[in-house]
Amino acid sequence: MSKQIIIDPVTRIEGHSKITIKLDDMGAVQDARFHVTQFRGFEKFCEGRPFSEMPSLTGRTCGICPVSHLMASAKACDEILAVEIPETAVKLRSIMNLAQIIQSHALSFFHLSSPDLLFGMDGDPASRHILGVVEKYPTLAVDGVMLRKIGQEIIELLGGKRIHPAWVVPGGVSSPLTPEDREIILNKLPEAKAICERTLSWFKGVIDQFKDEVNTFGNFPSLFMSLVSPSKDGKLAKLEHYDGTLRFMDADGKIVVDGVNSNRYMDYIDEAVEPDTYLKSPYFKQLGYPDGIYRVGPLARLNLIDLCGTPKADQELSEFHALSSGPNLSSFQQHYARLIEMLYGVERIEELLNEPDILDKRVRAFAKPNRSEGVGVSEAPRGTLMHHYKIDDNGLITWVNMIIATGHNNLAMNRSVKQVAQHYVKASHLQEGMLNRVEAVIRTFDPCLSCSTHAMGQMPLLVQLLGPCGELLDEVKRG
Amino acid sequence: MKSKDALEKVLIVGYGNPLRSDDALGLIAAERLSAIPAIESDSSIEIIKCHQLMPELAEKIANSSLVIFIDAAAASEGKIPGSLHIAEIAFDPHSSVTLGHHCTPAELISFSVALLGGSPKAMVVSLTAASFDFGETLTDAVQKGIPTLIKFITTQIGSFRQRDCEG
Repeated sequence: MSKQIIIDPVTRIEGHSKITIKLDDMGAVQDARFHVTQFRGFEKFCEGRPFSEMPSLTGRTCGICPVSHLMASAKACDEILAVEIPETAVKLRSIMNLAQIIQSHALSFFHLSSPDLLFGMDGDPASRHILGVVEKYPTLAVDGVMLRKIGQEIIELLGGKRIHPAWVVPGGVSSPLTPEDREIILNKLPEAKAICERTLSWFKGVIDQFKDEVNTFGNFPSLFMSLVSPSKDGKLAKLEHYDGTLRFMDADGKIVVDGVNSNRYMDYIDEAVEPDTYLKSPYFKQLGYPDGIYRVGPLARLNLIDLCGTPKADQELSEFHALSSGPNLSSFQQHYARLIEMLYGVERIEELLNEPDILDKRVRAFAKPNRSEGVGVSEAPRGTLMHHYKIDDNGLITWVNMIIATGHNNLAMNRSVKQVAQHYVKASHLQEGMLNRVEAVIRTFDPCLSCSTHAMGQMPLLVQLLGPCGELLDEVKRG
Repeated sequence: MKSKDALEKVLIVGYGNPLRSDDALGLIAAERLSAIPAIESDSSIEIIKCHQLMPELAEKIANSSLVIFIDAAAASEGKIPGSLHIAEIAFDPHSSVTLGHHCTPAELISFSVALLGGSPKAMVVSLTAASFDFGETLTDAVQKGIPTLIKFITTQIGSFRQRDCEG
């Protein structure tokens, strides 16, 4: 008799989801699926709104990464205006984007993932949470709070508030940076850099304890995609979160597609719909569905580049690249990649703040719509984010498509869940450690489900083991 | 008697979504409290308005002696929209908090005390909401309950200050 195990909801991620694990007659994992159980409908209810509202509207897709939506949306609006925004505005938007990445990665690493890393996947659930971290590893806990706080404070200084700042607008930003705020931000960076460096040092010291997880957590061949930009001499690919062009790489490290302008993304990406989840499945068109599986996010970004472009991050990147002969295929290494990106973010913010034009007061280009369509792509903490709008002659939105980072990773998350379930779930009885690993692999992607289903809900945590006719065989409740 | 400089800190956190009708209660109440002259002029009272509770509030909580969270409460059986509710929060060392993308006041207090020490008196002051639908205004029921909420909080602060000064 086949059986089915359901983990509902998945804990320590943003948003709500369910994992279903199907067992065969021998009790071995036959399949595992990651279902997203939220629906929001942003793409529909934005129709009819003035395009200039889109940054504010889509920023409210999420309270976790509103800045990311502001960036992609504003860039799509810039395209509709057909303006080249002032260079200072590009730099200021980049600073806010990097601060967002720092605070989001800090939350993911320190609060959501560190309990597993510190106490082990089989650690006692009674202490495998943030208070357990506080008790046993107080320095790490304080570091997590402080680093996130610094990222949020930079966002607030630039945009006026931490969540849904309205400062990023079509054509640029709404106000320049003051000398006083520049000084305040610069003074925060040494502490942020120190936290990143000691956390990286700690992580590299413990990664060997997770050899099994490195090998089995979403470790499979796939394409990778992100934005990249050219190095100063034009010969190498550099880490890029705001601008650049799209690049795809295969599992052997071969560049499959390069130099794709954002507004041509649809030449390479299409989206499939599955009946058991509200999260669509983007795929690489040339390979079809579902073979066209690709990953985005910190791991993809570091795989796709030759250098970060800042000194300490480049040192770390060299070590990271040395872990594998080609691209690093293990989703577990997303944790490592996040730490390197945080360090890069701090260094790059410092560089930008020391640019001679960073206090320039010309930060916005004004125009009326000059195109009926615009695409904006940026790198969010979780990966590539795409906003695509069409407008009518009155500037009202007629069509919206948003492909969110977590959406790009949907196929990969499903593949990862199945891989982990097959390796760890022994269904003679439900064990906390096995189920935690299934959840933990999802956490490596740091998914943002409220964004990616364009939702929220409160569901009790229930793990059910069902027989082939749907009869309840076993049940575990949490909370 | 303590001078104003030595008065223990009071932290008021009003939070909620201003686009979800009564969920804006926390923000609006915090705004009205800020405008009360006695509170406005008291530098040991800090009022924060925010969209949601986040871990970085832990530092301010740890440095405060009285923490008041203001929020709209979901309706449940027996609770009349606009009615006032007070819930005291105690530090729970065994709380299995996540402190991820959503924090409750209790989780935040537990985290703050565990991480940074301190022993604030903490409570959640709420009004039962009538609606969390999309909207930018409070319902009449909650609107009518605000003066009672404000009065309760100012009385709490007054009592706290009296104990503080006598202590």
